[in-house]
Amino acid sequence: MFKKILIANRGEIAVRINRACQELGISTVAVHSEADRDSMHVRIANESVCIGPNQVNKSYLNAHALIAACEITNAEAIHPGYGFLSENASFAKMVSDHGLTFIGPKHEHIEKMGDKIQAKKIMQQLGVPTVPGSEGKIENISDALKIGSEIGFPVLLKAAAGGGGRGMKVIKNEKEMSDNFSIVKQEALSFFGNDTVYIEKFIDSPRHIEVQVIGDSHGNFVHLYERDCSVQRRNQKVIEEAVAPGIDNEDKIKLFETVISAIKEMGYLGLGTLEFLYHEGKFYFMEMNTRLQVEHPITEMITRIDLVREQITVAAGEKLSFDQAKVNPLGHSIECRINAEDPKTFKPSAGTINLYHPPAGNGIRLDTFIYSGYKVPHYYDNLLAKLIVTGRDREHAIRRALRSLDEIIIEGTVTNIELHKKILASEDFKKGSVSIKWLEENIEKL
Amino acid sequence: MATKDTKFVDKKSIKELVDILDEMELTKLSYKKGDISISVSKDLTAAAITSTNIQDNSLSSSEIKTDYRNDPRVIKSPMVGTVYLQPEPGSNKFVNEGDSISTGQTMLIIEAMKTMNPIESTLQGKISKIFVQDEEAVEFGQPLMLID
Repeated sequence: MFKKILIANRGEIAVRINRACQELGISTVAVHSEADRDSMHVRIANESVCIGPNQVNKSYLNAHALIAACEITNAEAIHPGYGFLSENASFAKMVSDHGLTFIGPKHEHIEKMGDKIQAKKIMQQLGVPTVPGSEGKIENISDALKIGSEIGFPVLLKAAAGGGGRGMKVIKNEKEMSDNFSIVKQEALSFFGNDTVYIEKFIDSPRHIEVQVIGDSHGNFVHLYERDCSVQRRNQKVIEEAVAPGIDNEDKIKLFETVISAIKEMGYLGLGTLEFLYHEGKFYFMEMNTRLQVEHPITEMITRIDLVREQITVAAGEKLSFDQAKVNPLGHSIECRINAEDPKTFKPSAGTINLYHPPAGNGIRLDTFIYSGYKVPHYYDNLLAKLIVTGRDREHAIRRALRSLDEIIIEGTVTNIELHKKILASEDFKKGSVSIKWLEENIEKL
Repeated sequence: MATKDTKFVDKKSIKELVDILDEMELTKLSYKKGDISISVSKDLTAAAITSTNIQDNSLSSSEIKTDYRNDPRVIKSPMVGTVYLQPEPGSNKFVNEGDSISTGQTMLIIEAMKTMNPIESTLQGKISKIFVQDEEAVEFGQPLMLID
């Protein structure tokens, strides 16, 4: 096992990873920008290194500074968390080239899954259901029109290097294709530095269902059931829950079997999430995230398995501490992402948190890095806290979430707590099975 | 008129005030002459808090170094790495306390990722203090030398 791990992240996830390390008896090194000197992840780590100025490209994305920080602290492994360098294959390779361990999948897998076209092709070959579309990149407008009519409009024109909901356009007919083909290509080039585009069948109002998996280097691969992340705004998840309500159990079991055989075939190592669109009883593979997810705690709560702990131990070459038979989901868990933003205008809000009081009691978990007196810097993500509530069933979890949101106090910065209350109290949400468009279409009415 | 005036920052006076602040071990000093008022201060509270947080942290700077973080006379480390005060083991140091240094002159080397990075002085003057030891690990922004 590692003696010392460098956590290459900030905010709540750096705090979360630090906890797993402490419980494993591993010493931690926090890295931080100048703006984050007083941040909680720095306070609780065993050591800390300032790696650069406030801007992320000079600090948290500065691969050289991170490796140098490992060298001067003798850290043996780097945990990248999520975001930043977590899905950067060349960083993962650089880490292992320096004789350190990247706590994540093999860099080849990060690279393959990072390219959306290649990822889809691989999954298709491995038997995972995918959205019907072009086999690969579309070279010209005549191919685009041909494939568009083959799979049937509306279709989605997507940038291969895109992600996070950017670089895609819904095309309703042939004329729109002719009008937009070169525009989307041009946008892809300017946003992502790559003008490769492809076409997919546009699935209207699907749900976002994702499957959590983990593999070790001893031939063990397990799934930890699914999460429903359909409550989104501008492709950003707002509320997630596990397990997904209202999905046929046999369909799920079939999907899990396919997913496990796919990652087994890949020889996948560590944590991963396969994201699917779910519509009219069918799953369509979207992408695979080769890292720890923001919403991993809801899976931890229903399975009683510490995913970060397992992620670290398998990276160290150990066996998974459990097998598929031990994964028995119990109850229902919901996560609310509490952001420093206006609940109506969504304008990010930085400032000093004058007063912070967390909710407590049975079934409550709050993953955060804020404290009374903490000054939220405006350079970074606006996620302040993740409220994770677990109840014996979905209805119970919703009621528990609502009472927790009434208890929590965050003063000094505006948050989206009121939005969460409205969502959880709405009839549509209570019924379950809302689509990824639901929040945006109903936000005014809530 | 007023906006024009602000361009003429009286560096000499500020420097003199900072010197007095250091000499007298004060934390705050204000000076007013006509329309111009200058106030200099050292944030001792911040320094104290930082140093208690990192008591067990072998890497972080001592209380004295933290005092100098916002001092304009200080050259700070532009990167994370290991400091070498001489070009190779056994040879003379690049510079010593008391030496004069000019802008662009190599003051030390920082090794990061097996690469030796010569660090050049960004200031000109006399080296009144070298904060780092040979082979010491430094973080970004850590004070290296004080130039008067």
